[in-house]
Formats: sequence, structure tokens, C-alpha cells
Amino acid sequence: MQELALVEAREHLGANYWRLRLRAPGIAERARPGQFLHLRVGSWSLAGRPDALCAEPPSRARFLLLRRPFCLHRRRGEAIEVAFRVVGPGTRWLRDRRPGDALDVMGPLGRGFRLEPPPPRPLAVAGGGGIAGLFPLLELPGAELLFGANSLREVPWRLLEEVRAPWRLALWERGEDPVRLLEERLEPGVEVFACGPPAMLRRVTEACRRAGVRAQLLLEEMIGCGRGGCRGCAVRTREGYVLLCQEGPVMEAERLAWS
Amino acid sequence: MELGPLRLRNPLVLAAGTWPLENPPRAPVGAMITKTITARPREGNPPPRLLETPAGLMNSIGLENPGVDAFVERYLPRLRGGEALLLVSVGGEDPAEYAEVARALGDRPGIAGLELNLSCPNVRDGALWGSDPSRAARAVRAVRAVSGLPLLAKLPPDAPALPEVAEACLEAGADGLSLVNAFPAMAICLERRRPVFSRGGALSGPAIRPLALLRVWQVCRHLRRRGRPLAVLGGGGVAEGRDVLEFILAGASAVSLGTVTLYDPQAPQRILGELRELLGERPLRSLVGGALT
Repeated sequence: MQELALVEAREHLGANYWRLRLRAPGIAERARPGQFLHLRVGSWSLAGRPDALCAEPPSRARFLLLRRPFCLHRRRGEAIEVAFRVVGPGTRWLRDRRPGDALDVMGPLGRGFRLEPPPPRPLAVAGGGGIAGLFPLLELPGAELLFGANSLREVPWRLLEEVRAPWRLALWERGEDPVRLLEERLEPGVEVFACGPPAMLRRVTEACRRAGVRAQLLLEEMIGCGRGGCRGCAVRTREGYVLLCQEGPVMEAERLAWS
Repeated sequence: MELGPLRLRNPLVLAAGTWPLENPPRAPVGAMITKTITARPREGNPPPRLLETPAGLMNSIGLENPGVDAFVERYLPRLRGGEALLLVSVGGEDPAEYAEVARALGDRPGIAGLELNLSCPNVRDGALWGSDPSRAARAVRAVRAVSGLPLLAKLPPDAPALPEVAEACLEAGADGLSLVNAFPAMAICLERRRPVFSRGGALSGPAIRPLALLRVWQVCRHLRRRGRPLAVLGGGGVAEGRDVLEFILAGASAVSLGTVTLYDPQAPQRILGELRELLGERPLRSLVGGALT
């Protein structure tokens, strides 16, 4: 569904991570962990802001065309939260939103994490911005987080402070590797949930396969329409191409074919 | 609006490759064109298949489609019966394949017409079927020989003599034209020092609108000078009501919406509203080709 969501809050989570809380009752009711929201971004006006600088209707996004996908970060009653790293013009624009702005949001899209039956020992492995979509899993009993970042400067400390589950940090600049930490923890009963750069996900997949442990990967790929029409978000699996916006963005690691 | 032998309830058309066959949208448009269907199923290109550019979108989907047999058996039944006319986009590597697809589609109920995708490259030399008049005519003739359905020839935008290609298609039996396909384009990945799209990309979206509009205008002016009636579905970067009017004035009698529906699913409704505001009481029909000098 499509909703005009009111920005309720904007928070800086540390490093270049930000979080927006958006009031969107219809989407909030339906969204499940691992599903994504599809947001319009760009230099168009924001309904409801009396001091808006440019009063152009939302249709006229001139430069930034595609909606940006963000996985559900947290649900707070009738509001949903998205968390993101500022990496380009779209996220930069989002970071500049203020309470009272209205965002055009579509969602929830895709299939989320398979959590039935509930995993007894969910082990989340996040590389950089991947932590945003894995966040809901950290509230599950028995959850643990392994978080990989390049350096101390790139760690969202405010966000980690909110994590009640035990967590370990692995910093590349110190020669630490979240996949190595993962390997030390793989044993029967553990289920892995990972989100991060492709190279990391590939190694997570291999480690889990060796240990006979199930892994669900939250994948990121360019998303076009988000509705199965343009076929732009295809990823390669053993059975051929599969659309992330339809069968993903969460995929069983074993299904994927790596080039 | 009249587009050759087709009667559309309004001038808007959903472009090929922009909506899912599995889940056709119920949009207030005059017609909907399917993803290009080939004789055999095609799985499409490896990712990445999309790249946003300023005011544009590059794609390299690779004609992913279920193949004509699966299309007829599994998808067509669910596509029939909508209020918008259904056109099927036909693709092929050679005239024989174009004809094979057209023949397999036959005269199934529910198909109002065919759009011939002449941006397909031919296997031997890689040139697009719509790149010159005689090649384009061969493809059109092959389809005409096996199908009596209304036929629009969709042309690639950078054929050197596009008006001549267009006329050759009409001579060969096409009922109208669809102008234009997305523009071949390039992006290079700085990290890998290679093209982003190993199999070639094409640009669509607002950035191409002035380029597409010129081609519609050039073809329509040429056809008018030759005394031919105008039956053109125009498009490329249309995002608002005012854009639709530009293409109508350039000679199109229907206008396709593609990239805009990816990010604004309400685009058809919105654009109809914008058109109504711009036109007031004037019938759109009276404006077709109004800017052709």
C-alpha cells in the first residue's frame, strides 16, 4: 500500500547512521521483519510544511527517480522506523528531513525473515549498514549480534547502546573479522541471519554450509518498481533468477548461486 | 483516441516491460503492452540490471520472459478481460522467430494487437532489426504474413534514417508505429574499470524526453508530408500531463508511460487529472500533430 507518512522523529545514531520514525498506521500494521519499505526521495516539496522552500508537487522528482528501499528497522505502535547510512544523494536528502515532513512510502514489500518456528538461538551477523534490517531480530530471546565495521569512526554507538542482546564488534582496521567470530560460534541449534557486503555474505554462506547450520541472508540489490514488473532486482539462485522484491529480500543462503 | 485501427478509451498506454504479467495493474489507461515475448523462454541478464542516472534510469534486463507457449497457457488467461486494451510485445532474433511468436499468439481472444519490438539485435551482425528500412520491413512482413492483428512497429531511437524506417514499416503492413525504445547508453564502474552492464544498457526516464520527442516529431512530419495518416504511439520520459501534450502536438495520438510508473504507481490517474486541467473543454483529438510545421 501507499501512505503519506509523517516524520515524527529524526535521530543521529552515531557515525553516518540516522534513523527516522514515520507515522504510517497502515504499513506499520502489516510490516514484518525483513520486509522493506519503498520511499520517494528528492527535491520535491513536503506536504504539510508551511515553510517549504519549493512548493512543487511530489510527482516532480527531477533528479532522483527511483524509490529507495529500506528494511523495517523497528515498529513503534502506528509508526515504523527506518535506519540508514548516508551514502548518496537519496540518503542525504532523507537525513535532512524534519518532524512534520511527509514522505511518500510504499510497502511493506517482499517476504521477511522466516521466523516460524522461532529460532532458539538467532545469531545476527551485520556488516556496516546491514545492521538496520537485522535489528528486529535482536529482540528475540537468545539473540546475539556480531557487527563488523571498518573502523571505530564508522560504528553507530547510539544504536549499539540500544541493543540488549549480547554483541561483539569486529573492526577491519584491527584485523578483526566478523566471519571468523561467526565460525567460532557455529554449532547445532544456531540459526544465522546476515546482512552486509556480498563478499561477507558469501563467506557466511560457506561457513554455515561447512557447519551444517541454516542461514537467512537479507540481500541488497538495485530495486526498480518493487512490485515484480521491471525485473530489475533479479538475483541468481540455483533454480535461475529470482526477484528480490517478490521472493526476497530475505533468501535462504543455500538457494543462492554466486558468480 | 484512435491509434490506427485501435480505439483507446484514453491516450495513455502502459509501456512494455514495466508491469508484472503475474499481477497486471488495474490502471485507468487506454492500453497495456506486455513484456516482450520471445519464442523460447529467456532468463534475462545477470545483475546488476538497473542503474539510476540523473533524471534517468539505465536498464539491462535482457528480455527476461516466459516464452510464448507459457505466456499463452499461464499468463494470458489472467490478462484478458480488463478495460484497457491488451497488446503483446513480440520479439525475435530473426523474422522467423518474430513470425513464430505471432503465429503462436494467433488470434486468441483478448489480444487487441501486437507491438513489434524492433530493438532486438539480429544474431548474425548484431544490428537491430529496426536500424534500417529493409531489415525492418522484412520483420514486419514476416509477422503480417501470419497475423491479421493490428500491428505497431516499435523502433529503436538511433536508426540513422528513422523516418524512412518508419515509412518502410507502414509500407510492409504495419498499422502504426511505437516511438521510441530506450536509448542505448553506457555507465562505467570506477572500482572494476568495466562497463556496469556487460550486455549493454539503455536509458529511459525524464532525461530522454526531448530526444524521444524529436524523433516522434521528425517521423510524423515525414509521414504527413507523404500524405500518410498518423498512427503513432509516442513516448519516452513522460512524467506529467504537460509531457503528454507535447507528444500529442508532435503527432502522437497515444502516449506511453514507462519509467514513471516504477516510482509513481498512481501516475496514470494523476496524469489524467493534469491533462483535464490543461485541456479544459478542448478535445485532445483536435491537438494531434498541431505542432507539425
